[in-house]
Amino acid sequence: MTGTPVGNDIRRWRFERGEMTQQVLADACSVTRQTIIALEAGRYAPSLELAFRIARAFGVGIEDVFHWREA
Amino acid sequence: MRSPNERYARNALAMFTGLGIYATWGLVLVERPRATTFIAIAAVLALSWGFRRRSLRDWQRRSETMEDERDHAVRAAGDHGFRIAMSFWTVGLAFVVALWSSQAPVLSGERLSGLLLLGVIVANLAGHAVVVWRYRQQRP
Repeated sequence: MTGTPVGNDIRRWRFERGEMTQQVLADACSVTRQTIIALEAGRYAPSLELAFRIARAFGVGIEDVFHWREA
Repeated sequence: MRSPNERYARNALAMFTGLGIYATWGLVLVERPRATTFIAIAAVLALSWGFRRRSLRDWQRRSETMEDERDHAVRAAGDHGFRIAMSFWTVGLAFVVALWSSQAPVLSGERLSGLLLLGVIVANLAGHAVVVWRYRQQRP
């Protein structure tokens, strides 16, 4: 398994929020920068709690950031 | 940059590989294993529980990023690998001893205790290998 069916637009939202760095987002969500990297690369599916934290950090709803990738 | 958890797993892989070679040579291959070798290896295995805790304290002191949910998930996969390897080793060894212990001297007496200890080392190796593999898999 190299990918996850949960896709996301984290990178796009970071840039739309004034080029927020991965580290700033990681600190806002209480995770490591490596986790943000893995999420952006689609290599890790976050828990529901982390997904909400990330969406809240961008000030948007969870479905604006995460989506189900059809096979 | 690798996470402290991944660095620890890599170091542990190297340590348990060395310990495994030493245990194979000192407890299984030699005709009469020494009690001191057994005790030394058993002591390292017993203390290895504390190695990670010490590493955690070191990371805290250096203010490195601590663990998050992804690290916990990877560690859980490593624990799963440990349990599977330990079960296979123990059941396999029990099976082999039950069938062939009278014909193979390596399966009896002091050398059997070495084989049991070697199982713990192999299970640790498997667990840390799973951790390293999962981190590598998640890297872009």
